[in-house]
Amino acid sequence: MMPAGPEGLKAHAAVAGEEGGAVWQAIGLQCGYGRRHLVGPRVDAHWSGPGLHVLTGANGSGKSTLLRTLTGGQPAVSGQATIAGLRIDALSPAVRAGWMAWVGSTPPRTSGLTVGQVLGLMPGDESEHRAMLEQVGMAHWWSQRLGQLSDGQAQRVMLGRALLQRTPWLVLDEPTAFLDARSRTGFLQLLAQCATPPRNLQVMLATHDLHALEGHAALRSLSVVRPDGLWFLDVRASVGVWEAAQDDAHPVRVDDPTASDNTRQGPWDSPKAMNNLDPQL
Amino acid sequence: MMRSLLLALGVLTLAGAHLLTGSLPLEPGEVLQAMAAGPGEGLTASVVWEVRLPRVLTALGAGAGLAMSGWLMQAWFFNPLAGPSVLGVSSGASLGVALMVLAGWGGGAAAWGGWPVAMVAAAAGAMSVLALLLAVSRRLSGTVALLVFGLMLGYTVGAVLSVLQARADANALQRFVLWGMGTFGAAPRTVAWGLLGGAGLLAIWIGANRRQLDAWSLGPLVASSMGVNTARLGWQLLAVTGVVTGGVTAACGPVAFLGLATPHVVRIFWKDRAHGAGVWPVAGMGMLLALLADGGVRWTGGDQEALPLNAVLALGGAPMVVWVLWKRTWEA
Repeated sequence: MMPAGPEGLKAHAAVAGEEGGAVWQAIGLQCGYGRRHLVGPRVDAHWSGPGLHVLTGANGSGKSTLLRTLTGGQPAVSGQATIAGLRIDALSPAVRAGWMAWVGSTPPRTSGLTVGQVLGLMPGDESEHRAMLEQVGMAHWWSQRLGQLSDGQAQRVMLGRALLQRTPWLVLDEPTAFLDARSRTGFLQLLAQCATPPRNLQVMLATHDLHALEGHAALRSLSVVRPDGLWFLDVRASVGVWEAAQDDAHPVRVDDPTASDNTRQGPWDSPKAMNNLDPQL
Repeated sequence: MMRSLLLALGVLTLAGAHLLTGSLPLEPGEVLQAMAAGPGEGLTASVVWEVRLPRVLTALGAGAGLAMSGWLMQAWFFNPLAGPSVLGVSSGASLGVALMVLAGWGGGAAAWGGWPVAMVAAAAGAMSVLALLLAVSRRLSGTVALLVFGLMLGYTVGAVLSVLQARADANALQRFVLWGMGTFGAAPRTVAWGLLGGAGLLAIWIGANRRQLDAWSLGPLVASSMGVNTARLGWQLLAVTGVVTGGVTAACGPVAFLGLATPHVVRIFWKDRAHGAGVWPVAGMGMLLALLADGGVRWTGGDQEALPLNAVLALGGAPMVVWVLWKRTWEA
């Protein structure tokens, strides 16, 4: 376990226990690099509930910058991002690590660590780590070096690592961008499994891979970053509608752009479901 | 385990060879006697305690310190070709020393007698360069961009140095030029112990932060999301490697290649890339290579120091850089 981690994980456990969930909110959030270089629209939105929360948008729309700002990896120009009411940029990395786990788009190809060593950085003992490796379909790769795996395999390991962090939110920034078609589908299926019972995680996923998500039961919200704002779309719509929304001037969107909850009500949509998240804590 | 023992044995053997050989022919028994008797009067005692031992200690401290510094820089910048000399960190330290010796800041550090002043000046120079690298490294993505930046820093410092040299008096200039060739033979015993102590502190810092460093190898964003305070880790890394590189540079001159090449030699023989497992192999291999290089300096030309240290290191180190470029693949 990271030396800095435990306090953070405990801090989160206390809050999640009381509130039974972690609403992620953007309040007048403007991303960019200083006031002279704004990126993307001003965003007012909130995300909550288990399932896949997909964030999409054309290249250069500011999707990745928004995700980095939401997770506290980059300071906001104005406004704020909060999780369960806490300002993200005010959280120490250790406390933030209790709320969200991150998977990037490029697997760390230059790391010389073995799969076992990577998982060994996380809480839990070796048997838990091996069990996790099996769940992400990489059971036989324990002693392989990360750099020797294919990108698809490495991303599975990184997902396993993130799951071991046992956070209410899982955040992925275009995790399939560098994968071939087969690994891509497999990875998204794995992710959908995480977002449905029994694991029932809240997953924030920035991606262009909308085809694989069409009609998927795990899909909870779908938002498009556009110059005129962040638009929440109907998750039951076809992929054609979603893709048109990325450049079309008048997309079909749900009535209240800030209310992701009315996009889809899942059978798991009870506050108690959140209690399943942290048996370890 | 076997490899580590062999490495330790190699370091001890070479250190012993350095202690037993030199321009004054001494029997092994005499040397051992002088070692056992402690520092004192007499030719044998002063040769052993004031010449040979400081030199060995300097090589050990500088080798270990530079090797670990280079290793950390390669890990931090995700760059297999990073190292104190390549990134301009040694240049920064040189500038600190030059401002003192050539331009006469700090009273010329009492004509170099003031080792603490020299080391502080060099450490300040090294840390300034590291701070600059840390600030720009986010913008300069890619292996080559950062190296070119370091190269440009080196040129800039070189320009300032040549201006200072043109104005310096002959005595200071000669001193500075000799220092620039690099040697393990200039530092007095207290300074040598200081270098070894600095290397020890660096090893302890790496040991204490091994899991954060491992997490860093997965990428800055992943490490940060795991709870690693990456900003603090970066500044601490800057401080410890800056102090060690600066101290070594003040004592031995801008030593080339040792920091860059040693981690690659270790990667050939050791497969475990975790930072906790790498401390001893990297530090020990740095010691071994430093002693070997000093052997090249001391044992090639009879009684004279035939080759400057940096010439020996460049002859070994430059092919290493080409080899790494050739292979192209690497793991931290």
